[in-house]
Amino acid sequence: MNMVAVNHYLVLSAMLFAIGAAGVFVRRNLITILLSIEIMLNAVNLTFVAFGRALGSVDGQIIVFFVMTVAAAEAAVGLAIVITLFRHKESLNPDSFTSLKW
Amino acid sequence: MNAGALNAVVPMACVTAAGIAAMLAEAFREPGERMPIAGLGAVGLVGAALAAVLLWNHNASSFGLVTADNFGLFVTMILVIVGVLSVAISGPTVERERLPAGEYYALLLFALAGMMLMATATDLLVMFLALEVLSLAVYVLTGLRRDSPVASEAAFKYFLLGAFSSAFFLYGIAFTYGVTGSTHLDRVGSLIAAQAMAPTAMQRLAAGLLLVGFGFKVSAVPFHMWTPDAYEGAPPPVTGFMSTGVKAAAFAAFVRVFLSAFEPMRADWGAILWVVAAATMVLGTVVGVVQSSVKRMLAYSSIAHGGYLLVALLAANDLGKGAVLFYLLAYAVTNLGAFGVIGLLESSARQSPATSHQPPQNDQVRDYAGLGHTHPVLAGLMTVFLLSLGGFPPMAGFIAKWYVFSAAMKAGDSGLAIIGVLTSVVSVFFYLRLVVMMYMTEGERPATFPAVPRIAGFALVVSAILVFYLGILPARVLDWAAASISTIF
Repeated sequence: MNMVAVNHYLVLSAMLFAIGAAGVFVRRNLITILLSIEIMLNAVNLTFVAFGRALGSVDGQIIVFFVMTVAAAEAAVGLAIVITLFRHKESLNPDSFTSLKW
Repeated sequence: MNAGALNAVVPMACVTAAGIAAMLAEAFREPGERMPIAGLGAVGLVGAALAAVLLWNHNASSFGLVTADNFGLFVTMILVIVGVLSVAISGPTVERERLPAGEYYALLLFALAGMMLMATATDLLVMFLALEVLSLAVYVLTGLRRDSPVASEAAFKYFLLGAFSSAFFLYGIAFTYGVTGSTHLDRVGSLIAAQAMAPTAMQRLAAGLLLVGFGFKVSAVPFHMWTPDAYEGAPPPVTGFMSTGVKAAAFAAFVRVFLSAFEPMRADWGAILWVVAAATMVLGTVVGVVQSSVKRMLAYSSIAHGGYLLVALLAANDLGKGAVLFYLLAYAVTNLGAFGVIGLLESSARQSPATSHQPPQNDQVRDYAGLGHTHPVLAGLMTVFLLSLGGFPPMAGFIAKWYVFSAAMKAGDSGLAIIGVLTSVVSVFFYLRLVVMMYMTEGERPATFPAVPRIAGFALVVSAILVFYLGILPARVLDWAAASISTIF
């Protein structure tokens, strides 16, 4: 009866992870870049849940709670840094921040 | 559960308590009232050091997730030294830049607690949480000079690449969990050892993703892009703190994961790491030569030193494992000293508010011209630290490098040893360039430097003494390092 095997979830989460990783490099808005990182973290969450279900253990689901907490803390710090940056240049375009050579 | 079950987390509990106390002290401080917040931090760190000494040889374990084995405790002791020296050299910078003292020291202490947890964690999930605790604190410390666009930009670049690499690290943990059904390093290790003959694609993927995550944290090429920017934008004591503390914690976890749990798959990751180590040493040195900013130069030097540590990790014989710990200690003492001197010089030029929107002053190599005449003591200390970084005998850096390269030779890896020796020789050029600038070039203007605060000066002298001690009488510390590494392998 199990129509959706664990591999389907893994492929989906790998695609999400790739979308997030590509977004970090392609998008030209600091907020969208932060969101791309969140997509990556949530792709990993999906992987954990899928493995947890496939292995029949609850660990995978519990780990997701920790990851969500960390992601929230990371978003808070990230947004705070974006706000201080915005105050200096009134811009969210990463290309306008060139005080340091990449 | 008896109270003994908590023994292994006592060192980080001391540091965390000091961090919380620092936050409370700042919150309840009357405006204008001066509080010895740095002193609170020092008390917590001394407590952590005492706890680490008492736990030595006990192999205490808490919840099966944190194990205070001698390896973790040795790194904890390195981190205590890093913490004490960082707190001591931070004073002048915090005061002159008007950084919020409570937040500054609290974040420093929370970062240290995360580092200690990372060094003693035996579960991949706890390792990830510790990594985030330390990283989030260090991102904020990097951008703490909010009025400076350079600092904010550095913090964002560091944050972006750090969060990006954390996602890779976490993805690696997810696959490790999928392959072995556990995140505990012992279970992971035994299950991977059972299939060591034919590792599956998913095992390779897990190891590869973890390698990317660690590569970012130890700023190995090609994951080093954030290092020069973050190091240049952060206040100098923070740069010294993160170049030594983050490196020590990340290498401790790196060694623990790859030389114990993933050791059976060495055939798969060894070759990749060989290329990474060689590229890290070469790029760090070659790009370091052309830098005109002292902090950027030391950032590339820090990348190159990460490469030497990777060589010791790759050698993976007893000599190499001991060399990793000794190198981390020697590098911590030397680099914190160097950044302490930079902090004293840089902050002394930033007293007028008009310059606060300019990039950091006194940061160019030419700004050091004539320092040997205007401030002979600071110039002398800086020379000691730079020569140690370059690997001159009888300083700590020489012994550390000597052990790394002899470990590589013993492991039959003469290629890496030759690259290492050659890049060290090249790196001497840019360290000596600064020394020549200080002693043999006349300064353009009569530089005025304020008196060096007593605590910061004392910390610098202690660092210099430790550099000579580790360089002349390394036997005892090397024995400790070798004894502590034997507890986990």
